[in-house]
Amino acid sequence: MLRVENLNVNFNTFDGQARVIDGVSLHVQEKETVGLVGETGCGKSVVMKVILRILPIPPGEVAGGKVTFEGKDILHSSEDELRTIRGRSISMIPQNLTSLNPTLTVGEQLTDTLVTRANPDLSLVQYYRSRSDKELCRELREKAVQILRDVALPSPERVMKSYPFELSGGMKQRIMIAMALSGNPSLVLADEPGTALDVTTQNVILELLKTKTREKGLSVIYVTHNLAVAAENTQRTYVMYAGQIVEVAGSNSMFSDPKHPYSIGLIESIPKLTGSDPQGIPGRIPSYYQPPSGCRFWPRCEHALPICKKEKPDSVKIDGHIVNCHLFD
Amino acid sequence: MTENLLQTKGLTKTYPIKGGLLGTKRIGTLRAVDGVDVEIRRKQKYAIVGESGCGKTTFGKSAIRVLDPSSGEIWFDGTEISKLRGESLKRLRAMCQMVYQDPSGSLNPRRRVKDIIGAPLHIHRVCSQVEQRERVKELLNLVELPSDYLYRYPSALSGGEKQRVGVARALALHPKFIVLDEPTSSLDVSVQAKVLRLLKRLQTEFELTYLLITHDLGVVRNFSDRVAVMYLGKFVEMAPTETFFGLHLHPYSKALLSATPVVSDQERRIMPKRITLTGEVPSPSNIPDGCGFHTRCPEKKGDICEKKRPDLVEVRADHLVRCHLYLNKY
Repeated sequence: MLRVENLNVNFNTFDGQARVIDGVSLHVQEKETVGLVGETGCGKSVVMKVILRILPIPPGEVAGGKVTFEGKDILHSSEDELRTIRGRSISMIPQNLTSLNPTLTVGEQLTDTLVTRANPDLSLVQYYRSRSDKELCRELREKAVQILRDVALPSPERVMKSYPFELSGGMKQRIMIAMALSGNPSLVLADEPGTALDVTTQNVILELLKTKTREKGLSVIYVTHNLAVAAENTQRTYVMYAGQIVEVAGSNSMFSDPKHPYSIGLIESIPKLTGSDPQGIPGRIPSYYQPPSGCRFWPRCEHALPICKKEKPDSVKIDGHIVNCHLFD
Repeated sequence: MTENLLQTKGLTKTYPIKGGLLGTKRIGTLRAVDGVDVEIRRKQKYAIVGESGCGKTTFGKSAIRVLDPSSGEIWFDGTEISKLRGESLKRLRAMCQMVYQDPSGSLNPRRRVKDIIGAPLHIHRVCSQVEQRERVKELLNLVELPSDYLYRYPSALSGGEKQRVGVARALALHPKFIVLDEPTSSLDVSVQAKVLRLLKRLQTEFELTYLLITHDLGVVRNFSDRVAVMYLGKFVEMAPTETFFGLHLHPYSKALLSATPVVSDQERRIMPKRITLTGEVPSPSNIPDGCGFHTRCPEKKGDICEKKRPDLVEVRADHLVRCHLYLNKY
């Protein structure tokens, strides 16, 4: 359904060109939940933004690659076409709980979304006309209340009149999920869902997202740095390091038997409830201005071979994992 | 010399809620920390877990007089410290240090690493300028940072490196006790593992006592010797870490543990059945009667939970639980 092929993204800054995304390929099938995991600054969110074409260009620049969604070429679509995709076919649940407008009530924001979703080419005049149409407004409000009820928010009528600061983190996250699902998308990009929340609330939110998306048969991409969230909620997981995908596998097999040295190091770093002595990975993420040649992980890899510095590894298939590493050639 | 380095008795921290026309009338009280008794042994790594807003940071700060407690006693190394002032308070500050949650927020962006780490040495006037430079270098070495970092600003450091600078600053005055307030929650797992290893190494090297404040049970399991679970300003369960992960009794502890996302099958085996808590945490300005958890408790017994405040009871050797369910068991 969604296919990203060999994507390259650069950022042109005063310090030079940062080659942030280097040959990322991924795909999502219908009704599939996929995890994209990696540490801070590895480029997960950049990939998501390219999929929706909301990456600021400049300074960003898509240097190569292809993004197709249901047969449509996203990178060469016009803004008009994109408007029919964003929020309708692909919607995003933003990471930050402050993504809601602090100066509008939840009701105003929700009905606004509904108005523009119904008519993507709405002009400003038409928008104000629809706002003064009492009949339409009542209809929209009822619809919005229904949407809020759908995500199990207590007393939706009160929530409609509230400003975001009056609500708890869990409630805001529910509202954002409600908004994302209100356009009946077929693909949802969940950027760090619930990571800003406490574990018990996060748990509730993830359950909600899971049941809602399963009910409607949606595809979901979970973008997260919390590996356990990906392990529990997805079917397939991509591990990303410094702008490259290093390993892809079914989530169960990924977390029980990782192959790539980076995936192994990352999964071993998680402190386990059964007791463990996590070591961490030596070194730090490379600079994107002068990324290491060949495999970007070699300076930190304890199994690095001479070839790792020279050539970018090809994808190798073993035990159902697709690994980008010279060790498995 | 007593066995306990830090002991609190009925430590309470409340904040007035002001209201009225001029904002001067006291219209309520927010009980952030509500009568906490704790004994922390020398060289112990004591962990407090709880969700945001449960009062764990307020407790950590009150225990070492960063905040002034509203009532209760604090004994540190055999002295009552809750009323200390002036010179003696300053001497206490040198012995109790703190590492903060947000490494970027707790380092002054306009000062160099050498000045940040040297600040406590300067304030307490413990050494000359030349000695200070040597000591700062030594401290950088201790936290495994190269000595050319001396002249860097915090903005030129990564998250993990900033947290190391924070640790070096806390160690500067040879403290006995360090409060670690979510030291790794803003770091990635691979960096977190390295910082935790460093903290463990320093603890054995300098015979430090830690109070770790965290919401991550995985960190608790691999770092601490003893754990206390906090809910609405009260400790609801206290036990040695090993015991706690083998048998957790309070319904809130079970819910917290079952909500923790895990990656391996071994972990799933020790997890209690998934419990989804309904509703929101009650506000600490309006704590429910009886047991604070009764509004969300899946194992509520009935009237007694709503009316009677449960006490912290030792249900097994060295395992304390605050819940009516365990009054007559064990």
